[in-house]
Amino acid sequence: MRPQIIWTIFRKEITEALRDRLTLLVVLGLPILIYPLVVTVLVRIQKTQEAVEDQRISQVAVWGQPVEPLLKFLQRTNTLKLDPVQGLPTELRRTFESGELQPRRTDKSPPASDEATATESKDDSDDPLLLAARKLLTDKAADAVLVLWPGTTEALDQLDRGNITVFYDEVRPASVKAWSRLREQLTQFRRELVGQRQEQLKLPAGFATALEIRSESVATPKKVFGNHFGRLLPLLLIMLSATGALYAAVDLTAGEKDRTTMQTLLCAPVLPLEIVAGKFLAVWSISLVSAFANILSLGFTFTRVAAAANLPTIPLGTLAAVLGLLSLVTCTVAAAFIGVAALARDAKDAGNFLSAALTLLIVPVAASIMPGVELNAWTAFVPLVNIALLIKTLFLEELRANLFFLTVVAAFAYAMLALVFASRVFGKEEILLGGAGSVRQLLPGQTRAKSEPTPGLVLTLFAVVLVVTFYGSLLLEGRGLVTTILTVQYGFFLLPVVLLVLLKRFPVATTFSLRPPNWRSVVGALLIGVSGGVAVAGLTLRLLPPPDSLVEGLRDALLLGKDPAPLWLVWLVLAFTPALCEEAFFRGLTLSGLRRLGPWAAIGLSALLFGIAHASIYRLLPTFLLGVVLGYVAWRSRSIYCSMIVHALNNGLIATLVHFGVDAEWGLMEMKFVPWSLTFGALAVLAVGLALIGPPRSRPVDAESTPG
Amino acid sequence: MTAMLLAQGLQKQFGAVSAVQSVNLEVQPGEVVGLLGPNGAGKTTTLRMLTGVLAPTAGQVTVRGWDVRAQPLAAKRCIGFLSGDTQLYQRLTPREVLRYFGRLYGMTETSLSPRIAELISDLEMRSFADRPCRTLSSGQKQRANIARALLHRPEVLMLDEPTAALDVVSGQFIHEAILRERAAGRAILFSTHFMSEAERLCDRIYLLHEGRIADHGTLTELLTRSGCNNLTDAFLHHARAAKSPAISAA
Repeated sequence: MRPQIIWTIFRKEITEALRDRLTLLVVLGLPILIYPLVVTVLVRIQKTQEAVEDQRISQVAVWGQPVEPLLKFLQRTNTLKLDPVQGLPTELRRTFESGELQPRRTDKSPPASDEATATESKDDSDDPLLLAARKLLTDKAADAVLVLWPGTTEALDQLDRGNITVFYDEVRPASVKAWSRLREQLTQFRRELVGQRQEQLKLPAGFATALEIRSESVATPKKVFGNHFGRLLPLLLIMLSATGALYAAVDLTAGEKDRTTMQTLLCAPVLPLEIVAGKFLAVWSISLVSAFANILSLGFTFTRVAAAANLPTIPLGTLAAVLGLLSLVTCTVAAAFIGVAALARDAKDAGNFLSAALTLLIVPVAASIMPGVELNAWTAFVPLVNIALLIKTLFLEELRANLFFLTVVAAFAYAMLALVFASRVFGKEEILLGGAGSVRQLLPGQTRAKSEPTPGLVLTLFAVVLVVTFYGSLLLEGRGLVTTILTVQYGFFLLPVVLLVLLKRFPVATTFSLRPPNWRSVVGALLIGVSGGVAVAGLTLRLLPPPDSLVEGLRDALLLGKDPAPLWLVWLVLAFTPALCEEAFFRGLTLSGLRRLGPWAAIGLSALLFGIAHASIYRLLPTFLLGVVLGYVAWRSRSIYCSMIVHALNNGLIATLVHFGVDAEWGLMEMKFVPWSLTFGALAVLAVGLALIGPPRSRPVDAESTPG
Repeated sequence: MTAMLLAQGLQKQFGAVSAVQSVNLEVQPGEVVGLLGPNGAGKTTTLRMLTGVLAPTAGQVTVRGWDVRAQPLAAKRCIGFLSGDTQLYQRLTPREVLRYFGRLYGMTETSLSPRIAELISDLEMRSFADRPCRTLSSGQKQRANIARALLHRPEVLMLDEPTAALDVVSGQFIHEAILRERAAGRAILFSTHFMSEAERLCDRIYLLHEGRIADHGTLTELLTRSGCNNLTDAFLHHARAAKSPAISAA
């Protein structure tokens, strides 16, 4: 061994490494950036959560006979809102007030101090009061339940000891906050009460207890476990699954550049989109195998090992659902990784790029660990965070259908964007042949203007509009239904498509199918318009009956508020506006962009996007079917005016029925009672209408491009 | 006769750099045409445009009448491409590589297996056909690559410096394969910077210098026009002429 030689080699390697800016960025820049970034983001989220909780008034359900002095004492503060007997079932209320139910005793002696007694959470399924409180708190109808046991008023009057129990949910920050506020106030109340008694009876300090305050968490041990476990697990699962995708993405893209096999592949009669699709599927599969191995190991560990440690088991259904959600995350990550790795000059650069990307993934996923960060309408659309939070809700067994649907829709949208990004990278020959690409090369202005919209373009637009519309609608909350609908329709649907068509210089008439229809098609559209909604409802809502809350919400929406709006306004806002804006978006630009996929694929996909845009799992099937009908009408008649007629009539007639209250009589809104006779009648009219739809006579029918 | 490969007015611009300018060339069936030029002359860029891998800034390429940009799949089915620096998939065997590309070229399973067996026999690949490519020597890899390029019986072969990294014996094997394919009536475009190789194999030669065709014709025509005795001197003559127009005028 010659130290001089070792030193010489070492110096050369270090010199070369230090001249590689990317290595420097990953080795030095990333660690310097990542921790301040993570800490800043997490602290900001924590502070925001605390501020939100501090400002929020805790909703407290009060069960039992009111103890006036106590309630007055509690109401002095403006942080507690007391709601008597909320959520207490009538039967239980009777049993409770009769004194049959008594406070549960802990093994501990009654407290001699000011402190409240905490009872450990138990899965006491036989305690009806606990179960009722658990339901109320799990439904988030209240933050805490204050139980004033029978005889408390008399006990306080007679210098005896009263009993109070507070139910709260230890895994919900809002509930913990409510308990904290209650404990502070109750302890203060007891202290003052004891002071009064001691003074009245001339007793030494500490002689009396006056009031026994007990607290009990309604969270089951399983839920508590799920809360701890569900915070950490998504981070672990997402990072490990993404790591599985990393090496495959590097090898299949930049690795092919290094080996110059990419050029051989590009010489073969294959389309770049086919190459990217095949490679994406390979990386996604590898990532999925990694996710599956993680889930399998997790399930095995908890079934075999954790059972011995008396930990709850994870149901098979939960594991399957988590795997399903990971398939969405890995889809997005695999597509993004493929695109990023293909941008790199060689495998080393790609490894550096993706290591940095993987490290940066930690930031959003770690944010989902923060206490108080929950899956809600806002977080459902934040990439990666939404899936991490959804996995958490699975472990907490608090899954809600609509939030699940929104999260999955958002995850699909991001996966779609990632795929469009990857396909754009693979469309650049210079990048694939070994040159390093830049994001600038992928921007729309850098490509040759196409004379018609492409599937990638319309899918990207849909994903962006979906997210913007969602957040825009949340911001518009409180501005009134009419303002919200008009802003969403004209601002988020019509304006982007019109701007895009003008900016990209697509032919307006062709893109939007602005052709006058023949009279048969107009009659057909009128028939479809009056029958389509009933036919679709009659068929689909038997399969998927909507919850009452959705029906009520829909009724309010169709009336434009609790008080019915004038009929002309209803038609303007709910019939003509969507007929113009949604048709321009879905049957105009979207259908045109998807045209090259073939008629049925274009109609089916545009209908699916139309269904997804309605943002409700219960409305997905009916709106999808309606979208198929509208797509067929627009395609077959070659005229968007026909689908506009169908759309306007469909919406307007349902709104009119609701306006005049006819729906209640027919049970149309409930949709559970659409009689078969009405359904079949509507289907017959619909069939006649569809048969009448046809292309304008002046233009020859292109049999290959016409469905049906 | 209709040219099997025809390029008209090919240009390629990389930002401000003009890599290829106004290249016109054609290759007939049963003809070996050489594309000669020093490193950086634009040979690889030209070949990439001819194979449809790279979009030209201007100009058009047709292969057996198919426009490589407008009808890329049909055009690429007629092309067999081989490069001197192309590696193989390291973890696959040559037989697996051939099967993979056969499927990409749309060959049926029934026609693929006998064709692979035929190539393995013709190119003397039996001893290594089922070994991972990472264990093969350079010569063995290049034989597997030739098999891949010939697999779908293309009418046009484009070879980008196919002997660049090979020893004399392996190089000779490639030369023989080229001559065999010419006899079979294939149109072969062959880029190299080895002048002796071009002299020996090519029916016609295009001299490429700084992205332009400096001269083209048969070996005799090139030597006559340049007044030189061999192709190396003829090429240097053109290179000097490009730098100093006075030499050309003289």
